[in-house]
Amino acid sequence: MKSKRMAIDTAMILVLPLLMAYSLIGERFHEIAGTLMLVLFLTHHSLNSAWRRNLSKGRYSLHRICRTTLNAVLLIFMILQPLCGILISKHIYTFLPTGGLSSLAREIHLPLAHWGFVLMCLHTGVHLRPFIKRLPLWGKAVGAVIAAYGVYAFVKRQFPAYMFLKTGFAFFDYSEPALLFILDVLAMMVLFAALGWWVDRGLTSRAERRKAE
Amino acid sequence: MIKMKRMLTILLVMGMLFSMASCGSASSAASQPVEEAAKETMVSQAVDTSHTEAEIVSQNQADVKVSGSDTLVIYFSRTGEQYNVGVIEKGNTAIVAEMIAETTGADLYEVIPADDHYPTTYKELTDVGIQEQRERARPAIGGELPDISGYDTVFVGAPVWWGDWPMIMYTLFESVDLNGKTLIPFSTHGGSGLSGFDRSLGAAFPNSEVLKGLAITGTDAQNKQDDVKTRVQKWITELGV
Repeated sequence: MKSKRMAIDTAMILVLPLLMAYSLIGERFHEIAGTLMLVLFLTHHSLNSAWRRNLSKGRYSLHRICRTTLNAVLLIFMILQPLCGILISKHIYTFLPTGGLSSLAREIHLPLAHWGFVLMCLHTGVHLRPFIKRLPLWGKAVGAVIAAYGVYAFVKRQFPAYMFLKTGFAFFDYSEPALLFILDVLAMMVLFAALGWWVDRGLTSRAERRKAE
Repeated sequence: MIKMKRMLTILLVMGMLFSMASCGSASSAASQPVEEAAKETMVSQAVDTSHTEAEIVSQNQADVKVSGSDTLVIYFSRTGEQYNVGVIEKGNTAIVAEMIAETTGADLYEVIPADDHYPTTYKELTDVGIQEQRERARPAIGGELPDISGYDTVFVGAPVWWGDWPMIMYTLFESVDLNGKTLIPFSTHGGSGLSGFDRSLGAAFPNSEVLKGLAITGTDAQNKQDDVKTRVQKWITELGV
């Protein structure tokens, strides 16, 4: 069960940077990767259905409120994003009607992709806490350096412009190897995972920490 | 043992991803309807041979270029409401095309739809654009196709629609053979740059030489024309054509 969960989560982490590379790896592949991500997400959600069942149980500390809010927003995103994707599909889902919603779906899909990327990485960071705790000091230092580079990549790759609707079109430089873009995305993933981990740790009350450690 | 299984799972997933990547990139919108395209060309050739000789001569005479230039600018452009520029009277791509023609002394050919069903509002135009791509449409071109026999260098430009050439440009690519020419793509866009115009042009005409393209945003084409002119001139100087 645990290893199955981990395999699904690892696959999601691997698919994410490919999705972000969009047309660099081909639109058709983007649609396949998106579909795969949706299937992985549905599996991930059913394997972790205890989260949903326990929502109405127990007390809500500030820590839990924050975690639950993050998860809830992410859940909405994980449903909306594939829906928008299907409405603007050019290869796989062309047999489905769009109902004249394509232009709206397109406008939403791009900013959602970048917000969703950040949310997914934060979520990953929150749940990687036991793993990060076990990292040796040099491991944490390497992570910090990569995260610092991630800040640069985040700005260089215009992510804020997409997130805050400054530009409605994704720019890709085809003369650059796709791998460079993917490496930048990986650095940003480390950045936001680290941020998620750090904020989550800060929100943990002393009592909770004592209980966990 | 569990660790081994886990590793195996990860490897399998990665393998799967890469194998999909290789089949994904092989077929783009450009390469899809080869058969249909072949059929269309045959039809248009059949129509051509039905012309009388006199007609062909007069057609050729009409096409004799006054300028004698060996460079042609082919472009598709839209007016009406466009992204970030409001309602425009002169298309973004038309503005850039004319600047290129002015700089190089080239002739201009505008791709005009036979049946101009394109909406003049941005949202509706966008919806038509994706519909054409989903259907792999080949909207008919109105009027004569360009006689490209006298040109060595051809600039080809259009607005970026859904990350690609508007489908009517593929109609052109399938009815006018630009192989053997030096081709230079240019685009007007809202942020997505050339969007692979150069790659798809090269794919449509494998025996041509595709030089470095130029991408101009619609807002610049409308509002910063002096600036764009300088960029066009610099680009053409660098191209050396």
